[in-house]
Amino acid sequence: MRLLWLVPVVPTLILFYLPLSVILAEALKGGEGPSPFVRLFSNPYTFRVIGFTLWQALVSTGVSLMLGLPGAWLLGRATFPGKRLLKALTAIPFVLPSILVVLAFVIFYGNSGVLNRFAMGVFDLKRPPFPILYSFSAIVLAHAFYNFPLAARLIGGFWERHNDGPALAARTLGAGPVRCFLTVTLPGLLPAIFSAAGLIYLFCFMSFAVVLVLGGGPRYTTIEVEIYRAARISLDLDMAAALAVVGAGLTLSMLWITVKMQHRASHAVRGQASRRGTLRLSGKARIFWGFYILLVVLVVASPLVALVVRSFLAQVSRSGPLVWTLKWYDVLFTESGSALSLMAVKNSLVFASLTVCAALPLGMAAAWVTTRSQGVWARFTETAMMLPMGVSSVVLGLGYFKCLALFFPDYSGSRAAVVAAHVVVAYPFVLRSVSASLKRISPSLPQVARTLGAGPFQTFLTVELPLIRSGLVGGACFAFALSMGEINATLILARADTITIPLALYRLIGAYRFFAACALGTLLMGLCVVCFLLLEWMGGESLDPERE
Amino acid sequence: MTLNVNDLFRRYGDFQLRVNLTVSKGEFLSVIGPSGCGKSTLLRMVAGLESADAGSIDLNGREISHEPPEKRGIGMVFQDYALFPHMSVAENVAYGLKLRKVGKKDRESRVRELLALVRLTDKADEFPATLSGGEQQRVALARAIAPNPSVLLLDEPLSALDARLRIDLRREIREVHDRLSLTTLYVTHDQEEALTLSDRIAVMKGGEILQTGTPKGLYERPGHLFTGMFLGLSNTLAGRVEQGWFVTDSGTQVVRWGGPDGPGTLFFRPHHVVLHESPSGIGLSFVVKRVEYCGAWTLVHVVSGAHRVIVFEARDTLWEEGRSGRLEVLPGEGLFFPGLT
Repeated sequence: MRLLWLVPVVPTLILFYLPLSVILAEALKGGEGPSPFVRLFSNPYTFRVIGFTLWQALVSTGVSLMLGLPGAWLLGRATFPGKRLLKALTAIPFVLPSILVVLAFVIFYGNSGVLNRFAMGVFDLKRPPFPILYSFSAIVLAHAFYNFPLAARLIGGFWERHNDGPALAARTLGAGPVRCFLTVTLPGLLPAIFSAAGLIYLFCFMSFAVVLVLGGGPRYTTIEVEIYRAARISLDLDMAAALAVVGAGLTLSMLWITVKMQHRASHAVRGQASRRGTLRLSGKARIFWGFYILLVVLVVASPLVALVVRSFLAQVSRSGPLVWTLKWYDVLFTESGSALSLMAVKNSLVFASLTVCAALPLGMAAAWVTTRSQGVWARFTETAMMLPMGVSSVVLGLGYFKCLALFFPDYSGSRAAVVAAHVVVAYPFVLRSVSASLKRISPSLPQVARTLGAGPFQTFLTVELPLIRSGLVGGACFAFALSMGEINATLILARADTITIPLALYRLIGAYRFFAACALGTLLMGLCVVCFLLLEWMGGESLDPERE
Repeated sequence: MTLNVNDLFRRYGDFQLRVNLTVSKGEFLSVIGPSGCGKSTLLRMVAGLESADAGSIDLNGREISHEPPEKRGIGMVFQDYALFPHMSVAENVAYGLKLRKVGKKDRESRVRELLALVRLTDKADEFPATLSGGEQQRVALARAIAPNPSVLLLDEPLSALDARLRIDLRREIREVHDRLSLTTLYVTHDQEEALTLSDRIAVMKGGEILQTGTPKGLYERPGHLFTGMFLGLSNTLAGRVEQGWFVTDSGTQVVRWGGPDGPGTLFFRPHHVVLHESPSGIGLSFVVKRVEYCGAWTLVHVVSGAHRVIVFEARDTLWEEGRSGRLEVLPGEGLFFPGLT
């Protein structure tokens, strides 16, 4: 029992800390000539990349928060028909692969995309009126698309359990609604806002596919993209390693700050009694909020709808009209010459299944150790197990890339490494999901089972396991969806035998074969939506801020 | 089954728990004390949910303090019921029987029998979430006694229920105990529960058992001032014994008292007092501060100088706020605890 903490820690050491150490060692050692760090920091381009990474994350976070706050109020305080559905929809971006969002953006906002064509048609314009794509605003828009539902959900969840007693007291003491919000409610929400902002900033900082494709060039390059370019395009592995060390250092310190803020947020919750918000929407407010919801649904849904619709359309001739067809799906799987897509689907399913099989026990063991035992080792385990969240999967992929070269120089594939990377990406989410359900079990339940004659293992099987089932299913869905959509580490590790759906999508986009990309993307989206539905069916609890 | 707790010791920082206790076969013993006195910890150590630093626990001569909880053969009822939310009432009760490999048929008949005992036969297939607090506690009781434990441990089982339900349920717990002659260790901070339920009470304070005795013995002849004040309503007057009298600090003679001279505290119950209208005679002069009508009786709060005294009066008492008189402590009824307080 005492050594149980080794069960989650040892795999993590091998799967996460080993590749990370290899990068660090290589970066410090370097090849011939000056140290890669010296080369890195003597180039002003490096500072521009770091600066841009920080800046785009800041702007994206700001936009996400501004879009998300009204939604947080809706989810936290108001009651209206369809609230449950709206809350469920905020989880969609979580399970949507980034490459799919990229594709949807290209289809919808591209210069010959749905939006521009529509505007050109209606207003009879010669040039596309919204040249959004391949620019800074495309990056920010995509990040906001991803993260403002997260902001609404996290802050809304906090708001819902936030005691409104002090606010009501302020009103009876003579504060108007605005003053009351600014002086009482907002300070109370700040921990949640900071905590959500920290998380979103981290996500945007580590964003890869969005910047790689929508940024469209060296002008809009972040650290993650630069690592990929150095490793796989300019083949300067030392430089990539040095950059990865810098990136990991930055993200880990951000994670540290975020965790600190989350602790403060949860303390703030504990101190206050909860009362559910029951504000009914009426009259003018209804129109305003109806407009907000409509806008949100349009912004989030239309690119995705466009993607699905496009996959069923084909042009008869070069300038002919569009007709409905299943041709692209047919082409996907029967294309002569290369059965690329078929192989990608097969690989993705295999990788995702293996990821679930490995991440589930790993995350469950970690959750059990960190919630059920006390003392130094439990805390150590918790920290050791959460650190992977603060290192981007691009860095992780690079680590595996180096490990493969170092330990298996004769191995020409990378399937095992891809699965390992997916496991490291996925298990912290399993850990979170399972911990949330474990924490809800009263400590006297396993104790009473023991007094009734069940040993520790029997207690786990008959009492705890059935009670964390929803957390496990949620975690498994997460792991599956994350693996299906993972492109960062996969792209860095890409070899002939590891083509996955996201990689195939990336290549199809690169080759401007958008119809085929849409068909494959729709397939991927379908799989992810199934995961999402399962997740919601299980209560979607794994996404919400932790309850004490 | 006799339960023996010998020199059980556990240290938590500054707090030390040191207990000797015997619960005889078929006895209902309550451990009572203020919160933080270590009574729940004692119970959890007997159950095996917490370990002791030293000492032994034996059950009918079998040393169990090093056995895990599942090997001890005890039954425990928790304060929060701890019903398994994913199992029906019947499955909850059958849980311990299943682990003891009781056959399906015997199991079912035993579950039926127990549910009948706690009057929940019609709730067998329901889930805990649909039951009321009192029903949940009865399921917890049935589940704990299902595997025929040697000792039944109850950790403040009624504290989460409302007052009226508590009275019903405590009678029920006692009836179940009598029917099965279960050796029972009951932990509570509610003195009324302890008085009404127990064969014997152990009073605990600061990690140690102060004294044990029958409810009547402890109530009427408490060996410690703390015991007397903890069980039931009481009055205390600080003062000294002087030449055959108890004299208050302010110098008034209250009641004749034999025994050696010296400072101490006079202890008496609210029904050991008579209130007189005439101001002359032995006793303390007082003013009525407040009269509380309690239905079956009246509680009169009086003030005499710096002392406050509560007195039971009949429900149709004539005493009312502001009236004054003389208070007499019935000779031979109070207790004197020597020593400075």
